Amino acid sequence: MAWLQNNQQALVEITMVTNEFLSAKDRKALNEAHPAIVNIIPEVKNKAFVLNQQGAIDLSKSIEQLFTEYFYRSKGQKPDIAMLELFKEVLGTED
Amino acid sequence: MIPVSLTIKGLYSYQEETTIDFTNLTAAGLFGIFGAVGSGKSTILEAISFALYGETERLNKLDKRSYNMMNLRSKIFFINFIFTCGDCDHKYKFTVSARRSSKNFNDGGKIERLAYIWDDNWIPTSSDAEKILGLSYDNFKRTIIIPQGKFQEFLQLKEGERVQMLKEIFSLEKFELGPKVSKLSKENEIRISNLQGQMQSLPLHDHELLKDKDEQIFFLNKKVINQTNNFKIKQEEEKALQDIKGLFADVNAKIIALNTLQSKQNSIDNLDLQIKQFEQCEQVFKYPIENRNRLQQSIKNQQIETKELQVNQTSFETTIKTESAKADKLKDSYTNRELLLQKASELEKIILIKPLQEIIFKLTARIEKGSIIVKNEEKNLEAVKEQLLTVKSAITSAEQSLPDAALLVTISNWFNNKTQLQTNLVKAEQELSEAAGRASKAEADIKIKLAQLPTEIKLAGFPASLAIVKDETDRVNKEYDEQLQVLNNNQSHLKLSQKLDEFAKSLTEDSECPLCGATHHPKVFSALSVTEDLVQKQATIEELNSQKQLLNNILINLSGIYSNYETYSAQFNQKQQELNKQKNDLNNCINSFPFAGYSVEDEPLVRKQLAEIEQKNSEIKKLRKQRDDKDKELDEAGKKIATYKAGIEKFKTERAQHEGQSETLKNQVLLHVLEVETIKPVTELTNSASAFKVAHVQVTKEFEQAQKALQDNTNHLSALNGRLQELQKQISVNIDQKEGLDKQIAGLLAAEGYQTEQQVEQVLSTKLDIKQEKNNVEIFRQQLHTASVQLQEASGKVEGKEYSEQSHETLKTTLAALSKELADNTEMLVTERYELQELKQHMQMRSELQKDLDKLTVRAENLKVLGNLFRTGGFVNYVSSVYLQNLLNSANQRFYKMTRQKLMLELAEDNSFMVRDFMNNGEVRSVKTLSGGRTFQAALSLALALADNIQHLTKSKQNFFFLDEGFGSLDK
Repeated sequence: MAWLQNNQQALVEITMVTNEFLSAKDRKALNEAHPAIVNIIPEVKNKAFVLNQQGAIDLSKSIEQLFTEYFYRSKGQKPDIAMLELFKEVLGTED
Repeated sequence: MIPVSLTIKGLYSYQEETTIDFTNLTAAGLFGIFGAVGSGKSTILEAISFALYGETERLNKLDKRSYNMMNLRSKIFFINFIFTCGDCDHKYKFTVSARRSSKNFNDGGKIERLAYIWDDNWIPTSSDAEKILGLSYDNFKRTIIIPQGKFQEFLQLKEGERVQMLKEIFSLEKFELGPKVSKLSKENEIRISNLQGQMQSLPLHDHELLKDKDEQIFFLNKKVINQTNNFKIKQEEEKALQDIKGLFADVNAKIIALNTLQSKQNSIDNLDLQIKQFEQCEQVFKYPIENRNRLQQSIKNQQIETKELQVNQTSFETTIKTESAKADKLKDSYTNRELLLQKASELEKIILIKPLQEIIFKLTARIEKGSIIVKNEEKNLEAVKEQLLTVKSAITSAEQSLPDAALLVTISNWFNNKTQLQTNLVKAEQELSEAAGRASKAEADIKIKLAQLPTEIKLAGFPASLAIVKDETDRVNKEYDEQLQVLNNNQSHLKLSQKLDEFAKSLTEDSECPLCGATHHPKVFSALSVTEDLVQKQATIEELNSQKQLLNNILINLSGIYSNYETYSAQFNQKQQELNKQKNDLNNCINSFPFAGYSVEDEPLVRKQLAEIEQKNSEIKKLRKQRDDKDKELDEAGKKIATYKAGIEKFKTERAQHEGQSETLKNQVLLHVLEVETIKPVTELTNSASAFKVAHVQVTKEFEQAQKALQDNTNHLSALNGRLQELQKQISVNIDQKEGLDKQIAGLLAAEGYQTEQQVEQVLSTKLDIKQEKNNVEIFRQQLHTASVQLQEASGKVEGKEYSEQSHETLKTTLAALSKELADNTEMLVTERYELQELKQHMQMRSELQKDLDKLTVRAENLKVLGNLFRTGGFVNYVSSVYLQNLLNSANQRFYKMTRQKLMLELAEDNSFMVRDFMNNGEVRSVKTLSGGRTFQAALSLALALADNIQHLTKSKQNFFFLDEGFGSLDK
């Protein structure tokens, strides 16, 4: 902030490295501290908010894995062997 | 899909054939298509879509596509789109074509869409682009070629539509398992029902029942064993009785057979005796009697033949004498027969000499006649030669009298050029006059408009350009603006005064002034009435504005007219220059007249001389034709004379040949007087020659026939004498042999005890098949012997044995009763055993079915669970959200950077798109709240992520993405 106040004539781009997200208040304070801030680039350290770097679609995940995940999400437990075998049989069934 | 090339013709604005080679464009990574409105940028994308899918954004199927898509000045339209796709970069070509009906302009014709795949050459293939690209038309528009206004579609799709799209692109139909579970559940229920049905008819396991059954079978089995043993003993007894019965029956049968044979004994013995007598006679008498009879017959035949030969011998001797006399008579004529042939030959030669003499006479006449014609033709030839010399002389003198035609033609061309320059000059003067008229009219129009300008505009004289007028009007406009500014200020001031006056008038003593708060108002503001001034000022302002408007309108008009004026002035100047040039050209032409002996004024003279040359040329042409004709005539006369001479020579050669032949023939005539014979007609000569030939043939034939007959008869007589001698010898020998045989037969008759030869012949004449009868006798004797031996054997077997029919019948009855009882008990035992086995099997089966039923029940429960999980596409939605989340992650790679880390796309619970705002406490809000630019960034990131993943899905080495005016509809 001191630097901003001492360099009022410069055009400024700031990268803000923070633990949490920037608030409207933070932005307002920065903009009041300097009249020519061109851009503020937020960089949140908290990993929970950082972009998931696994960008490509994971098409290698098998249908059995997807079913196990879906079953777990729906029933709160993993499917037993009989259920998985039955699922495979369903997959092999023709319409 | 990577485009390679696109060729369009007759589609929308593409009237001419246009080919776009995408090779360099796609190699560059990023390219843009730029052009004026309506230049056909979107048509490129539409052509690709239409070629691939037969669909277009602008027109649906009812919109007469072939007519509306076809350029109005084209008769056909076609699209040829080549691209590569797939993991092996297969190259495909899609073509579309239609032809406008020649009879009905509004009929664009039938659209034909074809597809090919490259394999050394283009091979037709299915035009189903969905199979080739793995994308439906809708998804193609969302992911590869995004038409105008469709760019945000994926971002703003509703959940169901987005799931459907992901299902189509990523083939998520395989996660739609509800119907399959339902099918399996139904099958499972059927199997359970089936099992239950089977179990209903099966008994439960019962140990006591099984034990009772086992005991029952044990006792029954013991009883059957005892009965079987007893039955076997009785059965053996009955068999022994049956055997004895058979032996006695056999003895009786053999006695009957022997008796039957013995009754035939006498007749067989008689037959045997008769056979032996026949065989003896045959052996002793047959050969001598047959030989004797044959000799007797032979002697008889030879005696008959001897008599016949003796008759023939007398006849031949008479014939030979007659024929010998006839041959002697013909012998002299035969010896001189060759003279006849020679006479005939000479007559034939005389016949040949006669026509030869006639031909020689004719040829001599033709030779004389031809010689006269040749002389006449040679005279004619000389006359034509003289005429030809005369014509050639005339041609030479005419050619020498011709003037210089080349010079005259050059001079004539000069005069033609001069005439053309004069014509051009007249035309240039006319065009200059027209251009001056147009410029004057434009100037007059300008003057009229200038006169309409306000009086403040001060222009010195006629302004030559619009810029001068514009400068002056700008100055006046500026003055108007200043005046308006002053007037507006005054008007504001007046309005303020008017308000203050109203305010002051409303003030009363002791009331607070709202401006200064004073309650005492010693000098209240008073303004004179300003309303009139305000109205006046407003009128002035309006008038000034009107003047400004007028000024602008005139200036706009003047702009057009000045433009015309400048154009016409320029045209006038140009025409003036052209006129000057034409004048100069004409003057230069006249001043540089280069022909000596002629002047510029001599054009009529030159034309006249040219006409004379033409006339003389015509005459020379006629003379040359005459010369050619005479040349031809001369040539033909020469040829004719040569032909005649050759003909005469040919006749002479022929005459010499015929004279030679005639002389040769004459020398060969010796037996006739030539002078006498040549006078006779040919017919008479021919008949005489034929008569000589016939006489020669007849004499030869008759003599040779007589000789031959004589020789033949002599030969026959000689053979006949030989045969007579031979026959007489044979008859003598045969008589001796016959007498010997008669003696031998008489001795044999005495030895064998026969009285006469007739008795022997009677025996031999008996009609018996000796071989068959001897065989019958032998068979009978064997049968008789066999019957006797068999009877002895059978009698030996029954010796000392007895048989009772009654006892045998009693035993049979007992045995039948025992057999029935045993069969009943055995059947009962088998039945019991089978029932026990079946009972055990059913109980086992029921037990196994119960186990299956338990498994199916568990399976039914699990299927129910799966059915609930997969109901209403739950699993598909889950997988879709997983894919969508991954897609968002992929899109965020770009979007996060584009927004300089301020925004990130996220997925809400209902799978709608949200955006996390890093600049506002990381709050999440709908993408619909994004600005136009941010929306474009989000949509572009998503579209690129989709395209990336489609490339991955289709296993393509490259990816392609076409965006038609992505910004065009962002702020809708």
